[in-house]
Amino acid sequence: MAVGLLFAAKSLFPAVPPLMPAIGAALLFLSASTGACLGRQVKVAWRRSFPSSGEVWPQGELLVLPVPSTMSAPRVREIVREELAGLRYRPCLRPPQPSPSATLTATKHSLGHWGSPLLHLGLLLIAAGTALIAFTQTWGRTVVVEGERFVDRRGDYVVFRQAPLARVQPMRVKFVVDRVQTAYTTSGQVDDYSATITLLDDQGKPLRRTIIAAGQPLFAGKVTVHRHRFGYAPLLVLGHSRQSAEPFGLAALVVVDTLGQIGDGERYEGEFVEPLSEQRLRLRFFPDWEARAGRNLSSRPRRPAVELALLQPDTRQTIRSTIIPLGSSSSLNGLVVAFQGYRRWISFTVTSERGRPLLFAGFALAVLGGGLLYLLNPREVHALIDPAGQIKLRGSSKQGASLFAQELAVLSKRIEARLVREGGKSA
Amino acid sequence: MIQGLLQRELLLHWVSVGFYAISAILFLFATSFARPRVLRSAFCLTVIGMGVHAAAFALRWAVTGRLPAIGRYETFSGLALVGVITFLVVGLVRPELRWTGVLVMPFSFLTIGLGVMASPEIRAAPRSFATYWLVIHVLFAKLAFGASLVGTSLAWLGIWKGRDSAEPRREVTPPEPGSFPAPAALDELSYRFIGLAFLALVIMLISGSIWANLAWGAYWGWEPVETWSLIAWLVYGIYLHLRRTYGWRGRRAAWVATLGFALFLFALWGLGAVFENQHSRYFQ
Repeated sequence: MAVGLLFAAKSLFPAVPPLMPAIGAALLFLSASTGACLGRQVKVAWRRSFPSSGEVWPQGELLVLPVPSTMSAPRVREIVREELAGLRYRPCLRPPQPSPSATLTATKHSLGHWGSPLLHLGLLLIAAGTALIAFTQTWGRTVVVEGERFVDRRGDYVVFRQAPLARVQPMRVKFVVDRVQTAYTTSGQVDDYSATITLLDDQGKPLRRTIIAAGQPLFAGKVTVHRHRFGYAPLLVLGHSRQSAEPFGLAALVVVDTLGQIGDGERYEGEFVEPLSEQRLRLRFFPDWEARAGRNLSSRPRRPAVELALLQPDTRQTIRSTIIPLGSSSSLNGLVVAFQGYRRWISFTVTSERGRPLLFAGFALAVLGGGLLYLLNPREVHALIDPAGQIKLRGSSKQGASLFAQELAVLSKRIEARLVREGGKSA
Repeated sequence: MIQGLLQRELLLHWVSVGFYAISAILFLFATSFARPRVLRSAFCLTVIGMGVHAAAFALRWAVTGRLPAIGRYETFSGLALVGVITFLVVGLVRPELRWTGVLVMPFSFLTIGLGVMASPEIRAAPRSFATYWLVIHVLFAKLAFGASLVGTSLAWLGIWKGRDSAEPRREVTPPEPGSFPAPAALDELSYRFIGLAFLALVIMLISGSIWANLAWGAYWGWEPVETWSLIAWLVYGIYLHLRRTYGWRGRRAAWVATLGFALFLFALWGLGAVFENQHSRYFQ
């Protein structure tokens, strides 16, 4: 189990930490210990099912209480039964017919016996679910520009990374992003973002339209679509100033990613190679150029501008840069650039995984089992009314032997008090 | 209006710090000189301090409109509150276990002290926080902290009381009210509390990964807090197995419990300050 878990973890989470050997060793120890514990429990269950002739009494300390000679055995048994019931035990006579050798057996919190098996079964199911996800998951990320339909280069579907046993080949997901909406905190920084996406069928007909945001993925059949990142895609028209007759020859939609929140407002950055002169350029998009921190609370850019910088090909240091507001143009090292528009983009994580029901079932079982295990302490008390005028009390508990011994002592004191009250002091 | 409420909330927090400090000193005195009367006073002061603390926490919840779990101020305050509530519930159900206050209260005082020293400024919750999985994840993290704090305290209290004997002695007589419980009983109760912490950690880890999957499309990212919480959980698992399967008791078991608690504390307190990660963005 431990090896399987490690393998699953390695496949599912490539960025495993250097602490993995320690985690693996701990899992190995726990697996071996669970095996040993299981073996012991099977042995105990076997002994209980097929007791040998000498195993009438459980192990544990024996308490002997004297019975007044004036009291009959059935009355004493009744008193013991009532006192056990008072401590919330469930007494029954074994064998059911009253006889001198009949033992009063009382149990409490018997449901707790199920705790450990259920907890371990739950953890095993979680491990199995994780492994199933690792081996059958289809997973990937893609960028969709606002207003555009997603089209993969290899066809009208998405091809993602697939686990060795994944059967969805390839995963067919088609969607179009209608709108990306950003939300701001009071400090003016982007706090979260959502996108309205439409899922399409094979003919391109809309199937479902929904808003996707943090904590609100789109569940569609076998696939789940989560939002991942978002940014801007400025539309630049590029040309060379030497070609005066046709200065603008090429349009480029450059995807720029979130750079972070730096004092002067939001910034998005990306790099690209300009195809005419093959110069490396860095593009920064400012939704609100000259905005001060905390002032841009509009969900749409107000005074958008791009900063274009010519970079050293090897060191990527800035050689020269220029700022271009929306609708303007500027030249940079012989290159004429016009900033004509922008769109937003959003990237999605699309997954298809079969192990999720197992994962949830395992979680529920582990919680149930853990609750039973740690809230209930199963225990048994055996009482034998000896014909020689004694009550023999003995019991066992699954855990908390010291606390159980105290409970047994309380029980014996109560029984003694009842016997004295009803039958007088014994000799 | 909000500023005024926040000032009151901060004042209430400081008042509870005062109560916790005094009760921690009284618990130390009561335990060192075996004074049950002083113990009762310390417990009463803790109840009052918790009431003030709970009022401060509730006020902050009302002002922010969300579970106060963002930033060091709110996180530490919440941890201390759940730790003290766990202790008070234990002390009310089993009065003989109030002696654990000698370890629980100084620790809670330290935790809330670290919290109130941080900035009390309200930070807006991102949209990913608008889910009930957050409540489950955070509450069970705090419950795990409270249970492991009480469990570790019980283990060391048992060792301290039974320091003259090699193994915890079993006593069949129920403890008298106000008297000190038997070391073996403390040892067993420590096991049960750490079992509860283990269970709370299971729920915390799994609810956190379900939440992460809903928000970001990945169950697990091996970020430092996740990894060290998992390691703490594994150490607690090893502790439970060592006790159940291999019969470890007393000092040896207490050391393993302490290791688990230290790792959990490192995940809760230490990592946010050392590494940049998903948790530290909201924790710092």
